[in-house]
Amino acid sequence: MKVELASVEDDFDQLAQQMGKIMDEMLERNFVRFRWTQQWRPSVNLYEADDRYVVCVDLAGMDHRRIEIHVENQKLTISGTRPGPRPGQAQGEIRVRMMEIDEGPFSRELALASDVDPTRIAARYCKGYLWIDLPRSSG
Amino acid sequence: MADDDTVDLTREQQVEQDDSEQEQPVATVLGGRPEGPPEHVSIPDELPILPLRDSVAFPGTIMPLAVGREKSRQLIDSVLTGNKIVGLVAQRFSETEDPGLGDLYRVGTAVMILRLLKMPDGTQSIVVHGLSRFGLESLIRAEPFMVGKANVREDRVEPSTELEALVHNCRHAAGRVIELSPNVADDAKIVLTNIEEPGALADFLAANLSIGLVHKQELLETFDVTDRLRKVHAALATQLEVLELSDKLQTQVKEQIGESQRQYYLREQLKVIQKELGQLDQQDAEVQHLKEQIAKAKMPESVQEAAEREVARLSKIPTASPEYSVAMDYVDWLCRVPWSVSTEDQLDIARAERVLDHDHYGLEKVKKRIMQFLAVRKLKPHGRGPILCFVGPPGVGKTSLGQSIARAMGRKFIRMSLGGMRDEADIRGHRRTYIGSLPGRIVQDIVKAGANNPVFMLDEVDKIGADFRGDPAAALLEVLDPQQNYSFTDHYLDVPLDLSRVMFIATANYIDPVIPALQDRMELIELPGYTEQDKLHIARRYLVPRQLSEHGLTAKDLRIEDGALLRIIEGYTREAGVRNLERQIAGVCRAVAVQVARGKRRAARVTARTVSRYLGLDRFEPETASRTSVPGVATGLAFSPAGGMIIFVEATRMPGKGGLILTGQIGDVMRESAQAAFSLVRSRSEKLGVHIEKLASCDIHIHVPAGAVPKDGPSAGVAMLAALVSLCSERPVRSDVAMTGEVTLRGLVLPVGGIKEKVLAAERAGISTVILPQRNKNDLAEVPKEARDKLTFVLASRVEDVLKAAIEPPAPIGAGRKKKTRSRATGKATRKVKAKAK
Repeated sequence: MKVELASVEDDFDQLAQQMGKIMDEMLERNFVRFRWTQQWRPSVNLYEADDRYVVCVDLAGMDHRRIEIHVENQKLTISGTRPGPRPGQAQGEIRVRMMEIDEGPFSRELALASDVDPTRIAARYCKGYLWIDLPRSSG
Repeated sequence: MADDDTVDLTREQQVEQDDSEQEQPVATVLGGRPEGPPEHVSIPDELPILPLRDSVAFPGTIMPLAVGREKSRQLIDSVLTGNKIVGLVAQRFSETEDPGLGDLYRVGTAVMILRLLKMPDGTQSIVVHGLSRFGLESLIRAEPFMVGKANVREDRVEPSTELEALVHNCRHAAGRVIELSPNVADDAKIVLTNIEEPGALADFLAANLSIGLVHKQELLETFDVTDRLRKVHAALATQLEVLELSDKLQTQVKEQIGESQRQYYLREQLKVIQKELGQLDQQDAEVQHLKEQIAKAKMPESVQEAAEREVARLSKIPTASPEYSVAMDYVDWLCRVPWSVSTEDQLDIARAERVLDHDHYGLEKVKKRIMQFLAVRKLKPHGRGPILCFVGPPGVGKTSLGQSIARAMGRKFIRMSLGGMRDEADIRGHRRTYIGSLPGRIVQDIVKAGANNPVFMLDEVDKIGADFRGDPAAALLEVLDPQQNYSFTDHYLDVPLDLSRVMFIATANYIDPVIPALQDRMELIELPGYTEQDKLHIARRYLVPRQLSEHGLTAKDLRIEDGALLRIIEGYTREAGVRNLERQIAGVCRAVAVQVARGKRRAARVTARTVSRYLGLDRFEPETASRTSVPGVATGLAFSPAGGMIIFVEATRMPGKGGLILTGQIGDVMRESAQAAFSLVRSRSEKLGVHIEKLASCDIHIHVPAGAVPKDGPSAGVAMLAALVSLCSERPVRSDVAMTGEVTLRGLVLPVGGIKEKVLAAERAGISTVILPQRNKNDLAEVPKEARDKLTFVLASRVEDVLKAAIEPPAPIGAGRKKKTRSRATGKATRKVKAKAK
């Protein structure tokens, strides 16, 4: 039996949140959002192939050494802390006019499908994306 | 600001990025994540203080804030380049523009600024994430923005059963509130179930409760979690109660209007569907249809207005309403009335005459009148229609004459029988307010005819009834008055209808029962009964051919000779009209039909001698001869709706005291005329040759058979006198003499009515001499010539003339013989009135 790799849904799945927001605005309903932890959640793509799953995490501006990936109990956790961007070339006092990029500690958990071989998981960081290879155990 | 968005890619930046393009392996760690305290942002002691208007921020919540005040902008500018942590403290009063420490509550929330957004209208908004409560101890500085000394307050949690119960109850209550609130997103429930920390739960709920600022601040200042939850629970319970109550009210209202609303929605949907399918909805279609009908009907202006008004009303009434169908029917009737439809009169007089002659034998007077009418019509097309009334016995063809007139003129024919009609509404209709109301028969029949100028026959106008529902005859007055009927108003239609183009013809057997006002409006045309010769013609020309065809016979199968027809007329019928005659002919036809059906080939020929084979023995025979052979019986002539007839007056005497007994269902007038005749006999006993002593010692009984038939009128006076004289003088009255006339005590013979019918009846009965009052001489002109030829007339001005002609001569009487009128058989001396009558 094959179980799909699915993301662990918590209350702040961004896309769902966005959709929900659109719906709520249309229906004129709202409520004050709530987040218990101070960590933010990076966005994720998930691909499925015959021999593997591939996860891509949007994590620009990271030092790859400071990204932590843990696998335990069929659960994949990506965490770390992203430093805020600093405009290095600017002179004098800097004022922020817009701020939409998340910074600080982040964390993302994904549930693994049962056929993922946890021993062969590999990850690499390239051009701001974190790629995680999840090979499927043959048979 | 666009400049800020543009990224100036300088050479150095690109070089800097080169090394990051290479793939860099990231270590994955199998096994547990090192357990450490979650990374908490430490909140500094000195916090920039951002005053909040009208709201309270709670730890854990994410909320957007508009940044309006200049001080706040500076604060944010300063913070965003640093640790991005701000202390939010609510203002006590929202009006305060530049609050100081005294204007603020002393407990606030330290928040992290997550986003700085530029709103489309150019203002700035920040999105903040609540971190923890803090107490504002004092202000360190107030310019350019406030910075205060903050003292972080952690939640005090003491696990207890009460806390667990509160958590449970709050979750449950909040779930219900979310369900009942229409403006709370559904995923709030997911958030609710995911918050495990009691303090966080309380804060989440507090942030979302619709309670006032003061209450929220109070919840913020409650550091004890159990206490906070308790307060939240109380507020939740209140809110839930309000919501549940309003929900209940709504449900009740919904239930009440639910069903009708459902029907309404369904109907509206149906309308839309029909519209989509290109069909108008039913009501629109009907209204449209009616409008077309109205346009087609070419009504007079006032009527059209009424109809359009009703249609306008109709389109506003729901179809289900009973008024809808009432209004609908009404407009429908209005449209069906032939306001401007009329048939063209055929005013070819020669043709009309042909038609009338073809359909009816005789009846010259009536035909002449119809010709006159047509002639006038031709000269003056829009003159008022006359109202004719045909009066005559049954079976003389009054109704079929109406049909012929319609045919001759090319008009539609309507026949409306008034016999037994007793409700005024039958003529004039019911008011529309009554359920099931309809127009009266006049309008209905005109609608049925489909033309506004039909020949309208009001049949049996003498048999109209009247009771508490009104008098139909009175309603007819309006209809039949040419001065009024151009605006006849039916109660149902309620608009004037022009009846002046209608040709009304009434029929009656007898004009007396018709109320005088109605009589006055009509032109009476009397149709007399037919003579034997008339009947023979009618039988030959109309009745026999009609009966042959009705029995499937041809002239080859059956030939009825004139002799046979005469025999049938004399021996088998006694009537003014020809209905019975036709029935008897039908009887002959039936008998022949049986033979033909049995296969008999030879044509049947009916002669005077063989009639009895088909019809049995004679029903009638001349009664006069046998019955007047004894003294005391005289033959009178009477006039009834069925035509004229002969009656017998019988008188007898018995020992008594000179009394008079009258029997035979005679009315008051007849009774009095009998008494007058009796007194006359007694007063003139000498002259009349009667022994007065005989009268004194006996009672006289006068009887007029048949005893079951009511009779009245003065015209039997002479017959009674003759019977009395015959009885007392013991001389029989001549059996072939019949008489009519009123007697007075002076011995005069007064004129009476119905001479023609009476004469015809006498002729039918086989009488040879008829005694009439002298003053009725002119009426003889109306008697058909054949009857005049057959009979001898005696015109009497005094009773002596009557007695001379009626009583058998043997015993001599006082009066001179010179004046005696003899029967026709006696020769030339007979005083034939024929010449004079002409």
